[in-house]
Amino acid sequence: MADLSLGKKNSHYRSHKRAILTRNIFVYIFLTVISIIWLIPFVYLVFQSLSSIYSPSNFMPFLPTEENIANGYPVWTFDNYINLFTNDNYPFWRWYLNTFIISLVTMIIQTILVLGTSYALSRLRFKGRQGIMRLILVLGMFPGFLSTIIIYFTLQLFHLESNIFSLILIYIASSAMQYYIAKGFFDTIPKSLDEAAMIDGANKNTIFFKIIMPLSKPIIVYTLLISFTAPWGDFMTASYIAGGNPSMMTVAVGLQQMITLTQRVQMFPTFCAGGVVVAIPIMALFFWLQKYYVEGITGGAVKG
Amino acid sequence: MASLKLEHIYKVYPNGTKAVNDVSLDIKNGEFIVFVGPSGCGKSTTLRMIAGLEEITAGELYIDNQIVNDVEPKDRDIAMVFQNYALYPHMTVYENMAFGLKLRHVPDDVIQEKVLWASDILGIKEYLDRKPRAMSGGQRQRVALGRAILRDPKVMLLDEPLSNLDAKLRTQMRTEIAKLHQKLKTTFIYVTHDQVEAMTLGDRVVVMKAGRIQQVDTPKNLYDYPSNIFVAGFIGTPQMNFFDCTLLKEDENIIIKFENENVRLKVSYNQLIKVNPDYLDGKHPIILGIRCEHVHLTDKADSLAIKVKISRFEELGSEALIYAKLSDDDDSIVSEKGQMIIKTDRIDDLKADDVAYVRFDLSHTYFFDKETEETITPRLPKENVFDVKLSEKELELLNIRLPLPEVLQGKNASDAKLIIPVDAFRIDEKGTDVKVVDKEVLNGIKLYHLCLNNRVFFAVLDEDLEIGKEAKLSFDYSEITVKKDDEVIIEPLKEYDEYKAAFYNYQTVISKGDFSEFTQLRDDKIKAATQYMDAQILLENNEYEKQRLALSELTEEEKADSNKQLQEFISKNKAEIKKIKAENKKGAKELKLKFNVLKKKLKADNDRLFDQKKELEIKEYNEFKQNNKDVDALKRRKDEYHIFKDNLQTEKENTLNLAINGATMDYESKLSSLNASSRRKITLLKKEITEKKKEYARQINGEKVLSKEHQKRLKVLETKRKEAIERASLVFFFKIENECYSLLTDIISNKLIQGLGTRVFSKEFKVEVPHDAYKLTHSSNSIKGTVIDNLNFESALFAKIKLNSLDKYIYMKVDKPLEINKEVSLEIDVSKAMITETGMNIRLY
Repeated sequence: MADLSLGKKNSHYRSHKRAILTRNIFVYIFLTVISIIWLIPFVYLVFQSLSSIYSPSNFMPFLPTEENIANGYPVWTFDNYINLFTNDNYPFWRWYLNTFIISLVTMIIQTILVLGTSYALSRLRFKGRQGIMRLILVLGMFPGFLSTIIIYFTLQLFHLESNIFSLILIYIASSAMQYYIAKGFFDTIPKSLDEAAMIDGANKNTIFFKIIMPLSKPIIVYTLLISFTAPWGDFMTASYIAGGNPSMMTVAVGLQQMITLTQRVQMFPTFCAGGVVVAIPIMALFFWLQKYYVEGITGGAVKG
Repeated sequence: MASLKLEHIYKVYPNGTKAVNDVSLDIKNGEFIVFVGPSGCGKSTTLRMIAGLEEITAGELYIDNQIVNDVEPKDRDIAMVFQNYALYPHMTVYENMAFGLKLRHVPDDVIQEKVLWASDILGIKEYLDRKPRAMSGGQRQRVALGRAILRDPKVMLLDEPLSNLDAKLRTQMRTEIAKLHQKLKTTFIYVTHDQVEAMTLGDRVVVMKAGRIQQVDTPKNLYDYPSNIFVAGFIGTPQMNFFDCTLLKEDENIIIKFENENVRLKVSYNQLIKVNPDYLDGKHPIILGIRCEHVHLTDKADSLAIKVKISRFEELGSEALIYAKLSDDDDSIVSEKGQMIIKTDRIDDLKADDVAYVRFDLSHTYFFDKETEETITPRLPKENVFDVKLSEKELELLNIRLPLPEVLQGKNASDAKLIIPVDAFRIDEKGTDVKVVDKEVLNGIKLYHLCLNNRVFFAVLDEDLEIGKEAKLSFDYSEITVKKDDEVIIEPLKEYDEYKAAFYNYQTVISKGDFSEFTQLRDDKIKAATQYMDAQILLENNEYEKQRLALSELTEEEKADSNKQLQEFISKNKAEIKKIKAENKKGAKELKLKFNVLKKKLKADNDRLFDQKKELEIKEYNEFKQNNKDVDALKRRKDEYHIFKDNLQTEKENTLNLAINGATMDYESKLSSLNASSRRKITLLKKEITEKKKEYARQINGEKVLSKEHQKRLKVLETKRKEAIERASLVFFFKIENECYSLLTDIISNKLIQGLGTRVFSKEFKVEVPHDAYKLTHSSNSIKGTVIDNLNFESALFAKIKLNSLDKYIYMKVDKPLEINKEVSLEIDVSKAMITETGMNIRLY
């Protein structure tokens, strides 16, 4: 396009550059608008969490001047955060800890399972390998909540229905189904490395841990992140396991409890504060491991 | 160092493709074998099966006479070099090379010594602490070679190791590999698609095509005696010239008639004596092959010269290639028909489109069957054909009358052809006098060129005969064929009788009837195995008792003393480790400091450089503006200036990045080298501590340690005993033609199970039994038949037997004639037979 216009107008370097610049301006405006739209809810959440009173229609709390305070306008305050951790009715600490433990355990076990499955499907040739892969693909097409009731009854059979750690069981039970990306990544590691190690005297374990794992940092990080964030933000399964018992809630369920209709007015700013606190670990993780995350997805996507 | 043996190896993929088809090969100790062939010919698959990376569908692989079909790659004691090097990217060169030894728990100091030895040989000592990605292709390949030779393997496998290198490096590495082989004297197996590599490196070369071995021979023999068109065309550049032709024998001459071209050559029969006589009828389509260096330009247009039309030249400096055509009426450029290449050292004044005369060097001319593509001038001819006249009791050939044995009498024919295999001749005092003309030794087989009444023929004999002397010779009448036109008058006995068989296990057979002799055999086998293992266990017990008695108790004082020594040693080593760690930390810090300073300096330098550049450009531009009034030129210059300005920043960054990258690489390699060396030292020290502790434990608690070790060994022996008994109790049978059961030896049943797994029970087998594998028996478990006739071939006596249950005749070799029409029971010795699986047509034994 640019080259064509250059020839037509018999124009020189600067007009060509101008064309590129104009195009870039439009692209960047578009991207900026989109990112603003994406960011609005989060900014709103942060501002509301800093607001002193319930005023969902006020996008931004005002400065804490005497006049504002006297007029009853919402002003900047950290009271909501303090309230969040000290409120007796809502044991936020407890929820946070619950979620953290569940997510951590799930993350570790799920990563091991996913990587193991992916490696097996990528390297071993066994009967029914294609069948298993296809079956998992088809199973993945059904939404997870279809199995909610049957899972609940199964847990009941084992008397696990009111145990918070049965959440871990539920989360990791289907973890091997997420092998796609990791398998794609393993497929890109030359098979001759395995073979060389085999001849060198390594068994399958040694090959996996000493040869493949050190080369798979990006995909390990990616899997860790994915398997941490999923239970961290899960609401549905967690809510029916908790069954209304505050000591067994995760943050997602607990926060939802906070703004049930009767209490919405007084708890809304605290709820927003909770939302911000919940987002912090995930954000920190993503900032820290961003590089690997991108490598993991793209590396896995090459052949996956 | 080891010898290898491949026996009827097959690789059949689940979709039915045979990647490797009946490959049998003997590789001697220390030999350099090269597998060569076009891509997809199965050479790499064969190598990978030897390595154990690919399962063997059927057949056996022996390394040092040990069957290794089911042995893990790591336990085969082989090493392999891969095409893409397959170095572990996250390990340094040292770690890459040491990995295998480390997994085998070789002591660290030994590893270090070996790595240094290998890296010294290959000239990569300076790179030991680098990561593979910081090395060039040639260096990486050396590391891969180093990793392989380090373990001192029995067999080195190289899978196209040079194909990722550029041409110059390839030649260099080729020489190095050859030198390496001379130095190590290990068995090398090398796979390549490059015939130059194959010819220069190999002691013997295996040419493969479509999963089958085409020919195995030394490079020289491959070149001089190709066994089929494929080998002839594949080996040697430029390619051999091929022409379609027919051969016709006219008296003592042979006429070579070139197909489609009106060209004939008349040569003496003696020059083409080895050509299979079947093809001298002027009808069989034949392909004549001749290499370009054996076609000579000649001036004379005599009967042995061929007229050709020259189409173009290729000058190669010291020599030249002339492209010419046999027919002068075909001017098409693309047509390959009748085209030939002539190698010559003089072109003289020849021009394109000139007509020249060439002469073929007939001693280097090859003839192939056009359909089978096999050579018809084998080095070892299979049979001789004579014109023969048959009368009642005599046979007349080459003007000599020979009496016929009784069986063959009673047939009349004249102008028939007698075919005698070369190995059917015997030295015999009563035989005919023949003259020995020549002798060739091929793979230990002695082939004699003999002459009788001016007719040369061939015989393979075990005896040593002198050239020029006379010898008395006769032949085995059971192996001859007499044909008239297409009608067979006398045919030789088939070498084998064919049976169908199925595989059975012991329990099934025992349940089918009373086979007390089998039960007895099995019990004996089990007893022998048990006795052997019991003796082993007893030996171990005695040994332990001896060692225990030899132990001496230490006094309390001595114990305390040795404990003190141990503690001292540990603390000393720990202090050493601490010191090394501190030094390492310090070194790393210094390196980092230096690196940061360097980075800063690089940045400052770069800034200065680009500031100067910018200033210069601005100055020049301003000057240009002032001095130049031409609008177009000004515009162009303005553009140039803007381009420069826009690109300056990126260029600046790029230059800086390049410089910093170089510095970082250097810093990282230095750092990793530092870390690796201190890590190495530390592991060595730690290892010393554990060993010292072990030694101490042995001193203090000698008896306990000894008994522990004894128990361990005893446990191993117990398992072995159990296994041995289990193995001895496994006995298998063939059910032959639904009639009798034949006990299989361990060797046969192992081979069948090895080849087919549990499928062995559901498959059908073809058993080919030679005539001397029969034995008369009285057992009811036998094949029954009636004697029809006794065939006396004078050299051997056969009984013709009709089987009762099958409508089939078999021949049994006997010492004296059997009574005719008598019922006989036969036992078959399966170990002398050949066994083939009929479904996939896989030869198993």
